[in-house]
Amino acid sequence: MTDAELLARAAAALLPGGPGAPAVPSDLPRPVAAALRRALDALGAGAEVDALGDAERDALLLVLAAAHYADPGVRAAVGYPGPRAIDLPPLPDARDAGLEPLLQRVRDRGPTYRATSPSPRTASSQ
Amino acid sequence: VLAARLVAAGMRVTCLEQGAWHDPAGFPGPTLGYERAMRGTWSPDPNVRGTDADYPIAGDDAEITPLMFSGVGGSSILYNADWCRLRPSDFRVRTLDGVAEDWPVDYAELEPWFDQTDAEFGISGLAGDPSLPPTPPLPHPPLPVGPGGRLVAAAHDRLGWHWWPGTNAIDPAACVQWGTCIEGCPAGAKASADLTHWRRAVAAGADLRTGARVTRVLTDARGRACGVEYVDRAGRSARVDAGVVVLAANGVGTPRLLLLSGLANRSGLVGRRLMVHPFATVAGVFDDPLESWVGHAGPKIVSYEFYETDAARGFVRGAKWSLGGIAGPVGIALAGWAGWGDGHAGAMRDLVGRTMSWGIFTEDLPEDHNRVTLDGELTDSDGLPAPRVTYAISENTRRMLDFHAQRATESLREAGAHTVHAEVPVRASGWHLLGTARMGEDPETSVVDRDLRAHDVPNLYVADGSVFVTSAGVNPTSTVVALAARLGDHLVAARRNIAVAA
Repeated sequence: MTDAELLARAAAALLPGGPGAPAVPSDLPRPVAAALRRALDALGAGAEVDALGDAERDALLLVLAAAHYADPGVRAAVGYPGPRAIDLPPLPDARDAGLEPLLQRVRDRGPTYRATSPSPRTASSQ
Repeated sequence: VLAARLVAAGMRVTCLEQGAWHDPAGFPGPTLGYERAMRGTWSPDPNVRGTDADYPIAGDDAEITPLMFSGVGGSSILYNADWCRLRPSDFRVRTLDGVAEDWPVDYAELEPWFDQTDAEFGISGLAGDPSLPPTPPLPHPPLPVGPGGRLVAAAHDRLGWHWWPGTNAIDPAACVQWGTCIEGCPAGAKASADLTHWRRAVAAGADLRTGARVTRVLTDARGRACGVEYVDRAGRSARVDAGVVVLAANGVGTPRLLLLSGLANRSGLVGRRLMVHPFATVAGVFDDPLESWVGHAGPKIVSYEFYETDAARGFVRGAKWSLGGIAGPVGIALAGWAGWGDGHAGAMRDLVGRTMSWGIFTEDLPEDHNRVTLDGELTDSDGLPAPRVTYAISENTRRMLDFHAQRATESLREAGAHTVHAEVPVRASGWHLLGTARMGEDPETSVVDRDLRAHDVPNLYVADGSVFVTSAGVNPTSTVVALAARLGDHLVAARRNIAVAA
């Protein structure tokens, strides 16, 4: 089987209903790429996903999950719009204004740090 | 921070950095593949990145995986910008709690440099937190707490527990809430040292050489530092002569260099007493959509409710909590909470955008057996011995982790979470590499003195987390840079009196 077919087989087991066969990314760092290679070789030899070692399984899951959730349809289905730039509101954020009475109660409880006497050197410089 | 002070005072500075400059426009945050990138090319684990700019770490003896980044700005490129000072008690653990040792400096002595570096890094937050002595107003107001933060703040109000808006090293004027701070801020809003200090230092005359891996510190016949040797990325060896040498290579890289150089180890403590802040996450899943991917990745709110020692808990010292949203679906899926196979998609719909997580930073105490040594087999791309990190979580820290995870679960349940997932500890969490060249007054029990000068080499200094005597239970960056700023001012003031090589 090709790498794409092996990945599709694993995806069907782990992420059923996904958008199709992910490709092997070309920008994986060497250690991750090596673990993925071992995973695909084991799958090609008939191993089940659950029988993979931790590093091999992690590399496989990373590639499959990243490809799966890069699909706009999948992202929409779980309610994730993907990374996006959103201007900050003017600060302090008016939506947090209701927290001020809560903060005041934190202040009213007083200092919670343990005061320490200054070290001799600090004391002598004051 | 240090170099900027020195060049501003007219001193000549050469800095050797094994990594490269990174343009914020090249960070992966805006891309669809950013979650894969942060576990690959942009991973904080040098063993995962595996580039020639990194050195590998033999970490099979470590319960916590060391994390770092090599490049101009160092690990601040990938940090979370969670900005907090050590508390006064953190400098006095022997006096107050009868464990480890007190620092030779205290909060009051460092306070001016805390204030200065808060300003230099453009911190956003709210002064007046009663878990800390009074501070001046911070440069920027706090970033939005967000819907998840408001829920948990209200819960802490009902519980009578401390909470406070998060303090973040982020410029609100530039932040556009990518939520991908720890993959490098694509907007350049996060105060990483390449942006806050290096550009200014280079413009003022600092000679910053990238792709330059220091191989050893050189000394003269009298035992004074006289420069360093380094290897560039083309494999060429070179030498820089210097009157003063400062190491700032983090709690793994600095002891590695000292051990490679055979220096400053009269105490036998170079590399020993590594502390890493064993970290736990406790994530609550809520019914309502919280858009938990929006905004800064650092803390929406923090809690120091259980920071100070209470002997009734069965351990000493404590931990700080930072509340954040869990961003993208890949991270949630890989956490395993949604399972795999049938049912995964439905479970993910209930998790994505509805999950808030307490990150718990515990104080681990210094222990000689937690250490950095030189590995006998593994080498970097230049053939230098790689560091071996040996680290085991102590019983005190395990009790602390369990206690805090239970309290954090109560916090999230009170806030309305219907499900709570805890990971205690998180193995890949060794961001804070501390204590391996500790400061102290006694040359027999410390590596550097209170001015961060090596006891054994009068013109060799250390300016990173290696010098911490104890780890505290907070993110260390603010204290690391305050110490570096203090060292810079010291070197400028003492420049005529430092014993340099002939």
